[in-house]
Amino acid sequence: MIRKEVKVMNETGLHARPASLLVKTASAFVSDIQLIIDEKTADAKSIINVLSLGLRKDDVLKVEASGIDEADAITHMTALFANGFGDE
Amino acid sequence: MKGKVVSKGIAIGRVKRIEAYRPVGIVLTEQLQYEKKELVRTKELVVNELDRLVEKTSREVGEKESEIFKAHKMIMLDPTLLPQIECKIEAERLTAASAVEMILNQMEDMFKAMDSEYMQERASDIYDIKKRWVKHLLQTHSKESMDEAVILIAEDLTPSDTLELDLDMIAGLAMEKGGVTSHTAILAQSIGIPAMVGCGDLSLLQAEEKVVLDADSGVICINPSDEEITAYEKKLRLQHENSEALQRYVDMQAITVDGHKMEIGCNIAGLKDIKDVLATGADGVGLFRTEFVYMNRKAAPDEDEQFEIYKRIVEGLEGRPIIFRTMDIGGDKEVDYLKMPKEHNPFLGYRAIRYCLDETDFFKTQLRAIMRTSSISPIKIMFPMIGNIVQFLEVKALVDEVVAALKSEGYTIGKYELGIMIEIPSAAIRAESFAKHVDFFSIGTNDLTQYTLAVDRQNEKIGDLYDYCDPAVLNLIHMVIKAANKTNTWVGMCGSAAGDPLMIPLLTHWGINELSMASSQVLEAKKQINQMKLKNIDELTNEIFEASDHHAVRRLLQSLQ
Repeated sequence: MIRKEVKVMNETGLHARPASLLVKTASAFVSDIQLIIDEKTADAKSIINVLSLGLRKDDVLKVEASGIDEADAITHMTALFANGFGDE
Repeated sequence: MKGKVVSKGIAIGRVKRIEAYRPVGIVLTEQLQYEKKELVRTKELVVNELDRLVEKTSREVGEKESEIFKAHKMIMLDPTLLPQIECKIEAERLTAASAVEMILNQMEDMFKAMDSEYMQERASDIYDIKKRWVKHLLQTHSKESMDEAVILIAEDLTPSDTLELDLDMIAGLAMEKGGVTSHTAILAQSIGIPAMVGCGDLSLLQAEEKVVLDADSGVICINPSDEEITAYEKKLRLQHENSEALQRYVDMQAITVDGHKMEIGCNIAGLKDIKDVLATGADGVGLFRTEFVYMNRKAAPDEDEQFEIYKRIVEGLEGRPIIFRTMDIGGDKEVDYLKMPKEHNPFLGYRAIRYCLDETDFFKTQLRAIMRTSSISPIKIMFPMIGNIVQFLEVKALVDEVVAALKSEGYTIGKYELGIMIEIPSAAIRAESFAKHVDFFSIGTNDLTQYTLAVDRQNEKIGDLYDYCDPAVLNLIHMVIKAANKTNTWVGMCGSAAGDPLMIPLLTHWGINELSMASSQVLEAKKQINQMKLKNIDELTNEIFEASDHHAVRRLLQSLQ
């Protein structure tokens, strides 16, 4: 299990395109991937779970991956957050 | 069963109802395995349906508009969704429909309770999915396919409902609610199918039942006998022959026997309407309703996106005149992302130009996109809901700023004219003063009638009172035309009256320069004008102004036919 801290860089938080990009990316991996913020946990492969976190700009959270490709998964997930999901 | 005709014609077909959503509630069952199987089966159906809708919307409307169905599909494919509902079925012994509704209601409530506008939209995504899934679960016995002509029945149709319709299979529309100029009416007229609104309670009509929608007489014929059907089919054939005969007017202009030329325009809402302008040989577009560019989306289109749409429309018209009407939103057209406050009286409220003069960045984006098309060919721009001269001057100042900015950025600005919709009575009364500032008028009879007579055009209880033939309304129209003629100002009309055969002779005689109507009305209008001989109608005009009500006026107008 690998855990890394990330920050939401997007102006409007995790809305439409970023949220679906996150879910699509997470779904490509075998590992179980969770997003953890405060007391809440969300399955990163579930769009409903991810949206219900209501992530906003500057929110700090942890990404946790467990499984065969956990290293790969963490690398990709943290990269997504780092470049603001490709938003301008 | 009777109703108000909004689009003439006869349609024979099978009833198909679009249901408003009725809650399922708690429904218990012992057949848990069956319900779980149904859940999986219908989930497939919903996903397939969404795929088709993505493709259809992409093809017929645009890529952006199909995003909404893509988002729905993503939610349907969420790996946590099905297990949650299955658990609910097991735990509380509910039917699939009941469990789906319960789980999705919870999710809907969760999103609704969240702070942002974006989350509110997600709530309506969940609502849409709930509606769709439950519909499939509860319809295990009926055919979904529309392989025979369909008479579509509903309480009302929202602009977004129409995105889903398979227009090819729909032979006619009958709505329980709705006034004469509701969205359903506009849709039916633009695709040329018979439609009736304000029919009242149509719950007696069974799905799949064969009916005749007689939108010539304004009745729905239930359980038609074989003789009745044959008679209607004959009528349909005759109508078809008549419309074939009308084809020769495609390449003709609207010129009276005396040689007086009338400009005939089409009212359009988007790119797909252009083919109808060309197919009917209309002179141009007298009203381009730009608000459709803002609808069925999650956010406003930016300048470049708008420009692309406007550009394709102007290019498609190949140099024919076009009048853009800047966005007219409020009242009956809901566009959530604009966050317009809920009002008690949206038709008298913060909408159209009033909103635009406040939200100048938003307005300028549209103005810039429109103005950039002037380099392709000359354009006209008109502004809705203008009530006083200062408003128009403020708008003109914004246009000047936009033009200056565009020029300094290197854009070419071609010929353009600025005008106003005359729909608020104060503008009609002050037409002569306005003429000093505007390049043209277009009379919007739908709203002008509504405001002059104080009648909500969508209220079927007082539907009888709403009539542009009311002597007071005609008086204002006459006033505007005369003021325009006197000041050499171009005056057109884009409301429903423009396409009415009863009104066309009157308006032509009064001196209007242009009539803009649904494309389905163009050929009849050209035929009518080509057969018209002008005469002096001063006496008739006086009688109209002296008439006691719209019924009396209609009788008088018959004499001009």
